[in-house]
Amino acid sequence: MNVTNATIPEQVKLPVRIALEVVLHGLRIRLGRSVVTITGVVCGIAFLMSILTGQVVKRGVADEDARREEVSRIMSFVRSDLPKLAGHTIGIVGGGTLSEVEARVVEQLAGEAGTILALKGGTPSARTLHGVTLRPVPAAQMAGEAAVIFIMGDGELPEFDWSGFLDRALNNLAAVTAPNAKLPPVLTAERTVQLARAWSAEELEAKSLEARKERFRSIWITVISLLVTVIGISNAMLMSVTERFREIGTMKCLGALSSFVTQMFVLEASIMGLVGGFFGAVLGAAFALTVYVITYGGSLVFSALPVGTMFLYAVGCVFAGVALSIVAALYPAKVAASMVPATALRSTV
Amino acid sequence: MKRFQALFEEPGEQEQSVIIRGVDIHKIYRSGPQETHALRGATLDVYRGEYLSIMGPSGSGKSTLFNAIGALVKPTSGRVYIDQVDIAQLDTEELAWLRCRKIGYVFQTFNLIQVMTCLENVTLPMSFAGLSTEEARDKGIRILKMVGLGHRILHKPAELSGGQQQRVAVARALANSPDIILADEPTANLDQSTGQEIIDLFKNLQNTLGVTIISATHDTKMLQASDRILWIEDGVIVKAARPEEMTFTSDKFGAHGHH
Repeated sequence: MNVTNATIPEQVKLPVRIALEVVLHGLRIRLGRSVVTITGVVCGIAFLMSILTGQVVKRGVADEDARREEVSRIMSFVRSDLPKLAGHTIGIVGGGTLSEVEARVVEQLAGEAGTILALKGGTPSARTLHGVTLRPVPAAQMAGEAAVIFIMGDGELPEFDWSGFLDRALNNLAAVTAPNAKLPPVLTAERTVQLARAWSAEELEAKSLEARKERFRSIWITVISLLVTVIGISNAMLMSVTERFREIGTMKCLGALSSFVTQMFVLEASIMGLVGGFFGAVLGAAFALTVYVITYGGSLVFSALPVGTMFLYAVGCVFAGVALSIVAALYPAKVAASMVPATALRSTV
Repeated sequence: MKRFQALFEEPGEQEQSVIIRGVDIHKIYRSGPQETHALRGATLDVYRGEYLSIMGPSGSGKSTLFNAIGALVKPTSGRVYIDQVDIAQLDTEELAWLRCRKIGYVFQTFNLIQVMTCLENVTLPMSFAGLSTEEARDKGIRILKMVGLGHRILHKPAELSGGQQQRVAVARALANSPDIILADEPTANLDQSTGQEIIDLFKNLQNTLGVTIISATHDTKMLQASDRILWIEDGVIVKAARPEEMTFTSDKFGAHGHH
C-alpha cells in the first residue's frame, strides 16, 4: 500500500530560498516583460533622483555664485581705493574664523598686493588658504606699515591701537568685512567702510518664501511621478498574475500555501525595484548633472557639489525603488494568493 | 493540525472501503445577478484502490464535481468527505496539506512549470512537503524512472513530447505518495497510442501502488480501462455502471442493465 512519511511535521513553510529560485527563473524566462517593468521603475526613480540632484546642485551653484559676487564686490572696493595694490601692505585684524568669502578675499589680495600682515595674537584663523601664509607681526609694526586694515572673522576684536593707525596717514582706512563686528568708538563712520552685507528682514523673508514655494513644487511633481511609477508596476504585475493563472493554480494544487505565492510576488517586485532603483539613481544623477554642467559650466557645478549628500540621496532612491515596488506588488500578490485552484485549471489563458 | 493529520493514519482499512464520499453536493456559481447551479445534489462513493471515470456532456457539472471531490473548490452545500474528513471544515492551510499529500493532480494541459527541469518539477511538491533536497532528489529520480523517463530528468518540458510531458505530470502527482490521483482529461491532448501509454501507466499504478484513480474523461479507451463509470447530467449523478455493461460506439454510449 502507500508509504506515508515516518515523521510528519506541521505543514512546512517553504524556505524563502526556493521561492527566490522560482522567481529568478521566472524573471529570466520572462526577461522581455521584466525589462519593461524595470524600465518603468528606472524612469520613476531617475526622475526622483534628478529632482533631488537638481535641487542640491542649484543650491550649491547659487551659494557659489553669491560667494564669487561678494568677493569681486569687495575686491572692486579695494581696487578703487588703492588702484595699484602692488607694493602696498595689507593688514588683517580680527578673531574667530574667516568665512569662505573672507578667505578668498585674502587669497586674491595676496596675489595682487605686496605683503599681507597678520596681527600677532589677533588674527582670525582660516580653514584653508591656498598659497598664502600670514605673517604675524606685532601691533606697532602693523600700525606703521599697513595701508589698509581689514577687520575680518566672526570672533571678538583683539586689542589694537586704532587711533595710532588712523593718525598715521589720511588714507589709512579700516575696511570691515566681519559681520556684526563691535567696533571701538574711535573707528568712526568716515574712517571705516562696511563691506559686510546684511540682508534686511524683508529680503530674508522673501528668500525663504521663494525657497518654500520651490520645494513645494518639486515635492508635488515628484509625488505624482512616483505615483505613476507605482501604478505602472502594479499594472505590469497584475498582467503577470493573469498570465500565470495556471502556474499559480498548479502550485496551489501541489500544496503551496498562499503565503508562498505572496512571497514569490513580493520577492519578484523587490528584485525589480532594486535593479530599477539602482539604474534609475545613476541615470537620474547623470542626466541632471549633464544639464547643469551645460548651463553653468563644469567648474562651477563640480566645485560646489556635495558628494556625500548625493551618495545618500542615491542610496535613498534605491530604497525608494524597492519600497515602492513592494507596495505596488501587494494587491497583485493578494489576487494571486487568494486564487481558488479550480479557477486556474480550466483557464484558457 | 496534528489532529487533522492523525485522522489519515487510521490503520486497518478494508479493501473496498470508501475513500471519498460526496453527499448531496450543491454548487452555485454567482456572477452578479446570474446564478449557475452547477451541481444539484450529486451523491457518490469512491472506493479505495478503484479506477473511476466520470463522464458527462458539457454543462453537466462534470468539472465542478471533479473539483469538489478533489478539494479544489468548496461546495455551496452538501458534504465532501475525503478519507472521512469533511473538507468544508478545513482551513486554507489544511487544504494545502491535503492537496500536497493526499491527492495528486494530473491536468489535461500538463501544467508543468516550463522554467524548471523535469526533476525540479517532480521534486517541487516534495519541497512543499518538507523533504530535504537529497531525499527529494532520490525519490524524484526513482519516480521518473518508474514512469519510464529516467533518461530525461534534466530536460525542460519544452524539450519533451506531449506523452512524455504527461508522464512527468503523473510522476509529479506521485511525488508525495498520495492515496488519490485526480486526472482531468489526461489523454485529451495526446494521440491514440500515447494516450494508451498513459492509461497503461495508470493501471500499473493502481495495481502496484494501490492508488485510487479518478478521472474526468471522454476518452473511450480510458472508460474501458476503468473499474466503474459515473454519469453526470444536469448536476446530478444519473447512472453508475461497469464498462462491460456498456456498448461503446464512436460517440454515444449506452448502458445495459443497472449497477
